Amino acid sequence: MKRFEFIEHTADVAVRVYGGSLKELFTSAALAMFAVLVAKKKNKPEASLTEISVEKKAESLEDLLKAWLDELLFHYSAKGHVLRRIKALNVEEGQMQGAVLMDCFDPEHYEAKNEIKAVTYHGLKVENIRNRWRAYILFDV
Amino acid sequence: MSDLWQGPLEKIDDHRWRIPKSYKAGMRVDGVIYADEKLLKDIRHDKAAEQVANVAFLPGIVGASLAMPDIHWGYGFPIGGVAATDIERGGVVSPGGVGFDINCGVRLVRTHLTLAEVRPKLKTLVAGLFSAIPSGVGAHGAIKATAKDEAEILLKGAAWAVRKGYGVAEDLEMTEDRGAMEGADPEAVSDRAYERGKAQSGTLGSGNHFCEVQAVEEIYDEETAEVFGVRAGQVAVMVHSGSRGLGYQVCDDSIQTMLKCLTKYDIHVPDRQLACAPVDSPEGGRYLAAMRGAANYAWNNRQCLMHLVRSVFERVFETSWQKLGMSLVYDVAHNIAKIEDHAVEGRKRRLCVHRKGATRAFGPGHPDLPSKYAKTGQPVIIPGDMGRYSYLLAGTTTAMEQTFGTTCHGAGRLKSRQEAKRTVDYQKLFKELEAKGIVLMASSRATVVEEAPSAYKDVNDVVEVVHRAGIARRVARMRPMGVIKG
Repeated sequence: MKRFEFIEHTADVAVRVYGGSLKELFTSAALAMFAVLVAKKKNKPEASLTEISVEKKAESLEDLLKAWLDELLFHYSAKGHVLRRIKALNVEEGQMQGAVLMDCFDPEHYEAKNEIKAVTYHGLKVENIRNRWRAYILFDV
Repeated sequence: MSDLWQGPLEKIDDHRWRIPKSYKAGMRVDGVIYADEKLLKDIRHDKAAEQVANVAFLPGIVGASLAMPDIHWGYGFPIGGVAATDIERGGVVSPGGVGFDINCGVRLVRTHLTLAEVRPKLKTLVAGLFSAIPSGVGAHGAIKATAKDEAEILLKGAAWAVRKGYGVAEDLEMTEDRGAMEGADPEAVSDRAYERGKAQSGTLGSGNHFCEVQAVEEIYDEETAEVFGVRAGQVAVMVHSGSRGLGYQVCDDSIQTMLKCLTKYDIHVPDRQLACAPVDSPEGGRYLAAMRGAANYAWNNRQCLMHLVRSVFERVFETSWQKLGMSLVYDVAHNIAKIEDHAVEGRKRRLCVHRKGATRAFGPGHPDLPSKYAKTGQPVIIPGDMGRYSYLLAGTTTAMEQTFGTTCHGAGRLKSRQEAKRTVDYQKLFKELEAKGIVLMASSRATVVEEAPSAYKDVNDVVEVVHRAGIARRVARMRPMGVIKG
């Protein structure tokens, strides 16, 4: 099952992400965002990774998804942290908690791709269709 | 994009098309798009025109929801969108009408050097610029600013750099708003925004940001060109960058606040990205105070970048930048909201003018212009694409009358990034540029492909429309010689 696919958009990057559960959907969204940001050249040992915990509350699933992505984007753009692995993730209506392992960006191990300025609200949507979750997200690049 | 936009576009004249306010319940004014028949075809290929209609929902909007000929699909506002709201009549400010890259803009630096003098040293020059100007994702600035400096930058803009020796007072004179908007409040900027902007002063960024060495190849108006200090065969440098991570975060923080304002002030807009609040509300005031800080950060950033450019020229040509004649022609913002006075239905009104991918184009005699440009109107700098050309235009009285003193900002995207990736080959593009004598250095090949000339409209077509419509006039055309990309 594909986790995400990019959709045509003139100026920015639009993506549709999928998951069998909210946990999978949020995982797919994080992977899609980092696929826009960086490409991995070489693996680094896990021992050098930094663990970050994320806890968010929001009234809608859309806002919760944006809050989760915003947090990861902040770590990337302010601290140069690249998502390596989602260690734990719990998502339900209204709140989420997660623990992620992040690597420090360096040009030997990673290639920087697009800079994402923000996760926008434009067309942002989380839907459950026949017991599968999907979301549309537009990144401003 | 296979589906064409099917909404109404009524011809006003050869350069203007109306989306009547009857198109959608909730539109307060008409939409007006500046375009010719050729550009109009491209415009129908995405949802930009629908976004022009959506902007017409904003409370207090006056005149029309405008779009420049480089219009393309954005989020909330279209890129190339212009909207002015009447502050005394409940006019709103919308962070989406400015965009994430607050005060993304362009500056043009002229030189005394000729094409023939630069050509033999072009590769050294471009390599020097590429190594001196931090670009690409995660780049840290060569300019060191402490936390205390950051607060000063938000208040004083480019004057901070000048105080540090990264420029001269005359540079400020030649910058829109003299490089700093009044009314910035560093306290209105979140800690996260500071953190995202930290150490990014004097960095270019990625995406469509660039630094280009250009040759002036054609002059359309000798008299104005002389006032602007440009002549055919001369080399100039164009810098395109913005407020970096700080501005992105200010916008994002503000949209979250403004979403709550939609309920609080009973505002109905068709897209959450159009979230807004009355200009004179606490939320509107706070956004403007933070936005001005981010705008000032951007002016300082471009001032620092120009300092780096001048330093590289000094090393390569072994003389001072003053002797090389590297004066600033002008610096313009193209993502900004400003409080300005304009005539609406014959009466002077205080408006909040949003320019989202649009450039201020004040005409002759406007009191905000430096005295040097009082008779010509302000210089308007229009970057094209890395393979073709860029333009230098001048602001006009017609722009003051029709578009709140605004014109286009660039070529405007034509192809999506996906489509560019499918259709552009990096090696082939590199060779094509080389054949044209253009030296390119970039941090990311992916960015180069996405920013390929074929991904953009021909800036000639865009400039032709604004020139014919009279909302700016052609002064000079430049072509790229050396390109630095993030």
